[in-house]
Amino acid sequence: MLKITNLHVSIDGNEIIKGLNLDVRDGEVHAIMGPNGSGKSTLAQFLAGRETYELKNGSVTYKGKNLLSMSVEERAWEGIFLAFQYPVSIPGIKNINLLRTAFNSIRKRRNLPELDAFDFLNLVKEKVRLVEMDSDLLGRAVNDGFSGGEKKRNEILQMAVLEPTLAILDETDSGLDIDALRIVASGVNALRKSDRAMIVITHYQRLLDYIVPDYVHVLSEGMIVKSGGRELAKELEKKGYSWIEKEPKGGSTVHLPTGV
Amino acid sequence: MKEHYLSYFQKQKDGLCGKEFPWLKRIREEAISVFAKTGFPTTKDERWKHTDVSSIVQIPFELGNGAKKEFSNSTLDPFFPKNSKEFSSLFFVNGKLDQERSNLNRLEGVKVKNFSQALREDNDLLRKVFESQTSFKNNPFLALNAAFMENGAFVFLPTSKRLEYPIYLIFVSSPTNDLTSFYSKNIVFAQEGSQASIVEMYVGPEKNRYFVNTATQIIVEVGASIEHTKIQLESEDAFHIGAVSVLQNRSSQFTSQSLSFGGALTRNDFCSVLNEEGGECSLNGLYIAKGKQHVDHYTTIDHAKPHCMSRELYKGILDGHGHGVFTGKIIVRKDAQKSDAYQMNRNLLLSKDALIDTTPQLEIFANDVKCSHGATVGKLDEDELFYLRSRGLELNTARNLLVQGYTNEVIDLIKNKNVQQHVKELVLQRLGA
Repeated sequence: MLKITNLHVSIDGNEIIKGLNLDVRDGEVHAIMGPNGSGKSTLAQFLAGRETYELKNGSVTYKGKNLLSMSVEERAWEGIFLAFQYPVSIPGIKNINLLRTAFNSIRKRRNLPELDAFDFLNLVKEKVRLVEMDSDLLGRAVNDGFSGGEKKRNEILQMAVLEPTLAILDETDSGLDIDALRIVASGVNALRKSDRAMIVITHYQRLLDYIVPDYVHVLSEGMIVKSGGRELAKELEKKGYSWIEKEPKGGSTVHLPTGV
Repeated sequence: MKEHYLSYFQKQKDGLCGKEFPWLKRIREEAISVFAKTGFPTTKDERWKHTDVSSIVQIPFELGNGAKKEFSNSTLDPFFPKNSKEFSSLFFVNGKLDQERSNLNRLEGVKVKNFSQALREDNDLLRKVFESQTSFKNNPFLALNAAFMENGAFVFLPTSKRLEYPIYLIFVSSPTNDLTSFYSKNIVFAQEGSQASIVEMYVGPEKNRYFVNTATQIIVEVGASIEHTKIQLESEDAFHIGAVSVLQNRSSQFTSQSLSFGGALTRNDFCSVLNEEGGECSLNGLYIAKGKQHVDHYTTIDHAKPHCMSRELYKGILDGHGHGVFTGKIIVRKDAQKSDAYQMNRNLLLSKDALIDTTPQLEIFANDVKCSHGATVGKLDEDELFYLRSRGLELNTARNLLVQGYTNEVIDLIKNKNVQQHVKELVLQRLGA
């Protein structure tokens, strides 16, 4: 589904991603872990189309197409969804209105009929239950005055409504207490399916107790330095990132190990 | 061009509205002599620093001849609320009252009438109001207005009368001659404990040049509550200079919204004097300038007495070569202790050639007060745009949604839901254009 080859990305002249390779197939959940500053969020935003990042080298294909020639919105139409680490708040735009506008613009591109306000509300109410969100938040301005947990639930609600084929969750666990984490994770798990892949970016392994990945990659200084199965996350938790960073570089994987 | 107006006044004065009342003639003479002394303002005047009126001054405008022009309903309908039949309204077309389009069926004892009719029927009250006004001494355009005022509305709310439906005062301008000017004067008198929402609306349905000079005086008596919404949708080649002056008595409430979208050059003065204790005043506005439009708001809130509160929120959207000006003056007089004033002016610049001049002016002579102000100028937020696009919104849709969202903060302050809905539709029309 997604194939990243020898990717180099910089911002303001500083190279952040330095030769990254990743191969994600239908239905797989990949965790990308790494210390602060390793390039995790850069990768997430770059894949979603953020224009402040500059491609230096490499390629990204998505469902066989060149992802990097698509605009931000085209990527969304093609089924890419980024759950933001820090979702912006937008005073003046109602949450439900954004959801419906987004839903219908994606439906339109997929040649599906748009839903009217009534049908859409019914659909959303069902999805709201999935993330155990207070439905009052639908009538409020987007993320405006939301708690950290409410913002993250709102991201997962958007994901549930927009039904992406590739979801990138950028530190969805940050700022959540255990209860909120459990709710968000169960929402994510409910959305796992055979033709939908996920990239779960996290600093801590605790999220991976709830969203169990098929693969774990360790990102350090812009490269994947180690890949493995879910046990790798446990090992990282025990030994810390310094354990990886001490290892010789160059261990980035093109082909993923299976059943480590 | 000062001479043009002085000699034109001499020619016209015996034919002006209310010529049979000596007191009114006296006021007109006094006003023109004030104007004779001051002439037109220039950018050297502190109050007109950012607004150059020479484009108005150089044209020898004359009074509208009232040549009635017929408009089809489809020309006018888009400007008015769909359920406007339910509202009271006075409808002026090119300076003349249009009886057929006016609707005075829902007045429930409230007086709403044409200026000339009010002069005949409510002469004493009008005289009292006019003789107490001094504001034309500091504003040459107001002096011209007092000299030439021809029509307008008189609204009188009796004691404790609460009107649920808004009253619309509508001025449609589309003269056949591009030297035409319209001078209107509106007076709202809200007796003790009365309450109403009044909309003053200026519409130029066609593309032509004219000059509107309008003055509104509002007296809010003890415990009365008035909401005033001024909607300016003049033709894009027209000039609009307006002033709203408010006098607030004990524990009265006054809320104002200025929606300024049309006109080539617009200047709006809003001034409220909190003349007795316990008054609350809220001045809000939304201005949109595109192309080469120029829009200037000069607001004054005068805390003359203690324990009054004022709130002010003006937001601007400036695109193309649009130029916005905002001045927010707050005066707290020496014995106006416990005054509470807050002012905010926010501006959104959508193009690199758009311009805003924003000036807060606080003159505080009391020592136990709470006053704060702020001003911001910004572009559309890149993070917000990226967020919306990542949800599948096209760049243009995302921009429009953000700009719309930006306007909601002001629209939400409109208390009367009918007016709020109407304004919301007009904003969408304006942003979509």
